[in-house]
Amino acid sequence: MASRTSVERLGSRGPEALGVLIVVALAAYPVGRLVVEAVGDGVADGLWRGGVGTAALNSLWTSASAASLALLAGAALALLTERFRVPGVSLMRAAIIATLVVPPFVSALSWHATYAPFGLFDDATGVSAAWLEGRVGVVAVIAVNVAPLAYLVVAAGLRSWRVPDLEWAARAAGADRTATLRLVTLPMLRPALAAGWLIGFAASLSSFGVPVVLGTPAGFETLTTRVYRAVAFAAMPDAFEEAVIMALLLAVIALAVALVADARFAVARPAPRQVRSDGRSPRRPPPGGAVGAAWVYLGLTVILPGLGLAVRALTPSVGVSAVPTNWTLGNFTAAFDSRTWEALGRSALLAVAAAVLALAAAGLLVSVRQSSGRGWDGAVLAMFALPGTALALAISLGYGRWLANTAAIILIAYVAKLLALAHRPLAASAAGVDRDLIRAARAAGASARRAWAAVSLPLMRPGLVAGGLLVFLFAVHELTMSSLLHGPGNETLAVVILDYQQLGDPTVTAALAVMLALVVGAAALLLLWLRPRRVRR
Amino acid sequence: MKAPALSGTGIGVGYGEIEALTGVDLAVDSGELLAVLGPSGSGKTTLLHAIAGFVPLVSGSIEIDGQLVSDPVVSVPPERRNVGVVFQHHALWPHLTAVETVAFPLRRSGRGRDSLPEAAGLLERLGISHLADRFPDEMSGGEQQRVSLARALARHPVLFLFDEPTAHLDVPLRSALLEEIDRQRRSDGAAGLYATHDAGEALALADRMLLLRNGGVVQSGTPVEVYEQPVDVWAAELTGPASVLPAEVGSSIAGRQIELSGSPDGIALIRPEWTCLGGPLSGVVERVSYRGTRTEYRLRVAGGAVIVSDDGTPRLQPGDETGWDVRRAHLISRH
Amino acid sequence: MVFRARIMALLGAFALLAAACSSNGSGTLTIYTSVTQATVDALVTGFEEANPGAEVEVFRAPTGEVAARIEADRRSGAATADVVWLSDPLSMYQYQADGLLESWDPAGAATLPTAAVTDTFWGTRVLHLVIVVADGNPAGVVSWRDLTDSSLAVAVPDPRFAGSAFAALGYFGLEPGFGIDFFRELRQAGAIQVSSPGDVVTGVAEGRYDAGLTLEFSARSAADKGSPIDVVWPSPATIAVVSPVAVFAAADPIATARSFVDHLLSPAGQAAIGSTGWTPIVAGVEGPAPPPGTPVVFPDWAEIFQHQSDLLAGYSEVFDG
Repeated sequence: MASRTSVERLGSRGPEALGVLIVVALAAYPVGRLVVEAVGDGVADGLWRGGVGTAALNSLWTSASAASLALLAGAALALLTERFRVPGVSLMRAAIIATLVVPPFVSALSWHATYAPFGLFDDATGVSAAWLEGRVGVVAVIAVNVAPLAYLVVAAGLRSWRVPDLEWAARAAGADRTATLRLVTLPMLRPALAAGWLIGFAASLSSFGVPVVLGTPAGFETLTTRVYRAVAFAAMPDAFEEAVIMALLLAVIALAVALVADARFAVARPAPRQVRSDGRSPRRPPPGGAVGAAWVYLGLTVILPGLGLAVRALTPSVGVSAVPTNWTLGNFTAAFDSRTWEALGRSALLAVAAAVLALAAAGLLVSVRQSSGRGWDGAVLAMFALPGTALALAISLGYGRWLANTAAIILIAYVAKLLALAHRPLAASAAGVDRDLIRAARAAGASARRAWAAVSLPLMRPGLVAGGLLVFLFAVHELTMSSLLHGPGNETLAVVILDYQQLGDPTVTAALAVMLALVVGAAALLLLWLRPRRVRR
Repeated sequence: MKAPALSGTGIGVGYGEIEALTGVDLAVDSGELLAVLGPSGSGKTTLLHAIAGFVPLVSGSIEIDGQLVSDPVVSVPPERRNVGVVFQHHALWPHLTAVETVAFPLRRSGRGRDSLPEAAGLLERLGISHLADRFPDEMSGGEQQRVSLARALARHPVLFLFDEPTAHLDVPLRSALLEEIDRQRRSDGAAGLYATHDAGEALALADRMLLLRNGGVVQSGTPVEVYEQPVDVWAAELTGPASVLPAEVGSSIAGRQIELSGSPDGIALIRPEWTCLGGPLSGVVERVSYRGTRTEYRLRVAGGAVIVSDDGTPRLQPGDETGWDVRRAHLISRH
Repeated sequence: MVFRARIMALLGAFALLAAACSSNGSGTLTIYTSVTQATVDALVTGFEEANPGAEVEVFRAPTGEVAARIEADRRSGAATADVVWLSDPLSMYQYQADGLLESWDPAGAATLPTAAVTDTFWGTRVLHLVIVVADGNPAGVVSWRDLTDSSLAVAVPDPRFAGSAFAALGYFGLEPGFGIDFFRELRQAGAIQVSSPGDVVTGVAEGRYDAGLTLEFSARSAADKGSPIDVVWPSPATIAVVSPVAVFAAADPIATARSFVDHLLSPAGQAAIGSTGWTPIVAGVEGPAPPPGTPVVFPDWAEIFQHQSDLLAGYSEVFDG
């Protein structure tokens, strides 16, 4: 338990106020405006107009199912890579996280290109997934896209506890491998599992790209697609009001679930780092078939759809056979006009700015927490849980008067939504810094600030890099909020891709999507390579 | 003759290119406690883990109660070896109370509904029934380690493995726990393997000792043998305060004709209690250390330095010249 | 702590700078449009060449999004577009009714057919709604009625998303012999609603659907690139939608806004429209057109505007409920 001297408590007032300001500016004020707007428009009868109730139920059902499936896949993979000696584990980890790099709606498109009737798989083998368009397909693709998040959370949980000792204690006490998993590993992982499920639920609830591509054609609507459609035909007088009300509904559901999960599982607080066991022992090889099964899963969900998308990008037009003799680069040349290059540059710049700002804000909140003992974890988590649709509308209402159609308003939305991604690793990193190290620096003559810069900051670097990288990746392919907030001359690349998709030009869309994935993937690899190596014990 | 409770031949453990243990032989009879003494990194924990079944063997074999449990081909899983383990960091499950923790192994062996009452009884016998409904984070280090001991006792194993159980305890708690361990083990008649880096603990507890260095056995014997006749300087320094002076067989140390034992390499080991203040040899006091029960003086003498032990409070100061005497010494090899 | 605050201040400044840089100066002409990118680019380039020093910012999005953008701008009180150029007249009627549009008389208005002229907005090009079928029309589709054949897999675009789709809704909804019942029959025969006319073409080209309602432009573009599809100009008539342009009364460089409209209606502008694949509104300009003798009908937009809520409610009931 960290002890705080009265000297360290000095000067916490200012930063604390700043922390409050950040949370209010990014979330509390815009959501407040949203509530005011919704109430002002007369909420009650708007709610039960044709299909809103169904859409709400669909959203809930989809999010819960997808979160559960994602947790299953993510937790299984985390156990595999963190508990056993898997050959080629770095490659496997890269494949798992690869899905994070691709926008979900592009993922939906690639699944469609590969597995839908008349898709690539169908052409090659005659087998296709007729259920892909509709509720099952939506859940499946959302789950696949959200699984890497669950994986990261559970893997971090597995790494942070002295679980090997505790598992060995169970084995020595007579429990076999399965019983140990059931009675020791999984119960201790419960906070991580709950966090993984919650993050999965929030991400699924926010999901817009997948239901718009796979749900709408089958008449399966979620709240996000309905909001988009309501906003899409604002000539109808109450359409915008309907959108505001649905956005509020989304926000309320998400926050309610977040509240419950946090109360029961203390999800918001990052897991305290515990000392690792001294006994260094080799990991066992995994149970038979596990590695194979993992690769089959990754192949079907990540690799094959990627190939399908690439093939579609090379096909001159829809309906033309996908054989290599027909392949052309025409889609790429058509796609990359000046508008696209500008959008790409803008996306990259915005993502970098968002990462830096989010890290700064997260850093401030983390340091405030250390000084005054009050954590911002709950507020930050709530901001992450808020669906992008709702947040975007709220920010548009709150700041539109001054910042409409500028890059700044998009930046605010990014930082608000993605703050959690920077905050969590940073908070965990900071919690892991032994206070004695700082005291040693102070005793050696360093001022508080110098000690912090010379000792804490370098030790927190893994957290900084992890947080910054995550924010960058998510910001660069963010679609939901960007599509609602961008103005003339402020499109991001994701919005450009959506444009082409809505034009109904799948091959050019695919080409753009492939380019986006490659660019972002390259950036991700570069950043991973630059990450300071953890010191090997 | 009954098979030893534990016997290991040529135990070798490694991963990748690192050899954690090589060629370790040991045998422990029931009722016996073998202390494995060595510095950190010497492989004590790895040896225990190999015996418990947490890591596979690369070479050699391990038998528990006459049955082969480990060799490079065969490995009986830990849950089927009749072994009780007490871990260095307690390894208590954070989501179970003390009584549930102790009941865990009982449940695993099929006690069913009797598990909790039996566990409660065990806690009482150890004098910690007041901890029954507490979670690990509500207990102190000493209390946690006692619960950990109770858990290991629950299944009445034929072999106990103690992995530096007192390493994270305060001094007063240490002796209390050591007493506990001793008592329980003797009443059960089980064998025990006790890994530690504390020579005093090992000498006090053990029936036999094993000195480990870099994964290999340096010496094995009774505590007296190991203390009075260490096989080399390293072993000597590991097991207690040691002074080393040049010597020749059958002749003299620092000019004093004394009886020498051991194999010659030109140096002799002198333990402080084999010396006394006052005598024909001369030296200059370099440092005085008051130990409570006695005072140790480090003297600079012909050929090096020697630590002389004397009952009582300090009588000399650094810089004083004094006489001293040595009764015995042990010829020793350098390595 | 001070260190952190400094960083935040620096970045705050950076963000504000970014905001300032991208906000529209008053010399910039802002256009909101749902017209295809290539066409817009051609017109803007031509305009900039004819008016050196003019700065043009374009926001291009599907009809619904443009309308939503304007609505959001109005609500938050932010500056909105100077020129709005849409794919169908529905929103224009709304803006006119709300008094948002500038009333004036552009130079080129004289060359336009009377049906394409109002006080505040003018037609620039004609979109044609047709039926797209597989190559060779194996199902033998010839009329709108044929789409209600339950043996065919049919796709229709979403009127709340695409202006052209709403035009179809407007036309059929008020046309005797069709009405909302027409959509009911489509639904009962198993028709699927997709988002855009492009999606309809994709679906037919991939063989998922046998036929669908779409824009002739989308079908032709795909066919030109090799997609195995054909266009049917259906009976009783092809639905023609006029794509209007207007100037907002609150436009900042209002003179520039007006001259952009003039450019659109000029021979050069119309030629650009024709060369990028759309039928120009002015007769005699080179560009794609229906085959000679094809029956074409222009829906009554004033009427459609009056009934839009009922039309949408009826449609929602059929396709949503």
